[in-house]
Amino acid sequence: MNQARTPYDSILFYYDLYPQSIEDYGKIKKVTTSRGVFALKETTIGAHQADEFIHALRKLTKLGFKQAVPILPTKFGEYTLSTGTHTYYLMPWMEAIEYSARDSQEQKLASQLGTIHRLTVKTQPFLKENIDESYHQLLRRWEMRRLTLNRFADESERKTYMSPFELTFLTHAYMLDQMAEAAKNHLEKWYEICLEKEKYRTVLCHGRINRSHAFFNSDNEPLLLNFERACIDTPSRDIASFCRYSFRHAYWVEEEVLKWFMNYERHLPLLEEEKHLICAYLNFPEPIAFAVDAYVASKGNMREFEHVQRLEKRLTSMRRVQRLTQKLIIVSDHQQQEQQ
Amino acid sequence: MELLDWLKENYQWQSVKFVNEALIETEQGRKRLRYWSDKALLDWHIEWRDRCSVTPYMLADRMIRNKDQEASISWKGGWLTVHDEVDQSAVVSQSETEIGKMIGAMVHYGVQSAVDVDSVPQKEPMYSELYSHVPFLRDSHRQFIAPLLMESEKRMKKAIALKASFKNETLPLLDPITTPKQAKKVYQVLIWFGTRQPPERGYYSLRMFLSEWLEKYGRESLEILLAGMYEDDRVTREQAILLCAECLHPYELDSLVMMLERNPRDTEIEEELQKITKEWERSKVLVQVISASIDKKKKVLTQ
Repeated sequence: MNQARTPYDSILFYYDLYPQSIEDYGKIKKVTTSRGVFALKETTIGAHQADEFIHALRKLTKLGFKQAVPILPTKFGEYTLSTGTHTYYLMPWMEAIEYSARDSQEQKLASQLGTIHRLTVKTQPFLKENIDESYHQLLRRWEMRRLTLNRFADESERKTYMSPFELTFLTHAYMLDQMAEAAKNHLEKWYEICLEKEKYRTVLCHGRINRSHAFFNSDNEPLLLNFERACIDTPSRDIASFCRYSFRHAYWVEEEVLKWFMNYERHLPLLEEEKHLICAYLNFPEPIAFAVDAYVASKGNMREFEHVQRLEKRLTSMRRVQRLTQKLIIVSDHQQQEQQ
Repeated sequence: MELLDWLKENYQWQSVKFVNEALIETEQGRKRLRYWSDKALLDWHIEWRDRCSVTPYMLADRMIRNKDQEASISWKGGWLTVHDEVDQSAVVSQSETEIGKMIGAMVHYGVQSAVDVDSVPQKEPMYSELYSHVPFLRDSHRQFIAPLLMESEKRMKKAIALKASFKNETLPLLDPITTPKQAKKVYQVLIWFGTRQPPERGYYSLRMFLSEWLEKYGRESLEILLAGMYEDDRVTREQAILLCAECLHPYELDSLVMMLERNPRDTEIEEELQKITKEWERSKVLVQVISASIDKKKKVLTQ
């Protein structure tokens, strides 16, 4: 056996893989060996989180879910390797195949998300303390974010000469505050209904499902990857995250987004309070708050123009989210009566 | 079913052939086979090897899992395990810290592990048996041995006193750590090759190992190795003192006792006495180095 040529050789030794070449694709390394081609993922998640995500994947496999890219074990039986700074895991290498189905990729992903949630859904015994804690924690966090945004608006307003970023933000500050208020109202509604029903549902959340975390096979069916953020949580969180990352692929067309929800609800119909929570997550201007944070901290090497461009893009998205969530998600009075 | 077919089926190798009865060549490299007839012993060996690895740069020669992710396969009334085989030894001069860390991990695990395996009885020095042989030795040999016996008694007393002050401290259950040759390196991964022997309670083998290390690589290298052992507090101060107590045990005269059982010639005795002198001196240095390392550890703790 030869000595190490790259830092990855030590890791690959655990798989009895002796690379002929290693190509760098960012966090993914394409490893070509005499035994085939593999994808070595390099991530900064800790050992505990790595255990959690493997546990989540194994649980899904046990429940019969087959639409995930398999994680290959080391020769000693572990699925991840943690070095203290990084965690590694290995998958078979998959080449992207041209997607040719009539249904959009997001429609298929929504269906898979619904499947995962249906397989893992659990009605949790009601513990008021848990609900209270989740509710107040999120409310507090949002209040703080809102205060930060308001403070930024106030400071900008006091200036004689505002920067283009500040001006853009101020132009939309009222709308953003309204959205934050709407998010709060939806959250309150979720809280009230949970208290009234004395139960709530949890599912296994993928954490970041979107088309960049899926491979579509020759039958145009998705194989999901990157379960690193998998956790037990409300389905609303996963759906909101999916929507946030995917709306742009639907070009904000209501009919398309409606299909996602239809596909999802074929597997797991959403409850009224869960819809409120989705609305709450989507309406809160978190992406704007991040953009402001980055501007204030002058993170990275972004120029004023780039900050403004990003802010404008996110503001447009928020406006569209506002419009979409109003039309698509909230149950009508008629539906509410039917559900009762 | 033939063994090679059984291995192919279990480990899903395409090609397997024997190099010798304990070694096989597969498309995934050369592997060592180990046969176990005692399940409890096998389980203990699987456990310590799995627990004492510090990925990715240091690991024991762990059991390679089969297609069902099992660490062993049944074979002829017992069990077979498969391990990596590495030809070259580690370049010790650059690996003291890693080897020290590995030993530290083994000690740490050995102190904490629940015991459900038979261990080797703890060894005691045999020097007291020399008293019955002394009257039959030549004067010059008697004069040589007398002060060693006196010194042995003193060392033993010190060792007993040290142990008594930590009588509530559990001694580790260790796979015998016998020689630096057990450490091998491949792809920047240090592999510690364990045994398939019953574990020992205490530091008898480790003491022998450290003594050999001192002889081969010198005092400075040993100091680095000990520092590696103490890193992250894997080996506590109490355990280090118990190791020191073990090093005080006068085992140097054991070989002479065994030799005298078979009426050796005078020249043989003389050669043995010369060997003992060297070992005796080395033990002295070993105890000094360990004591100094304990003091250093104490200083770090109290700083």
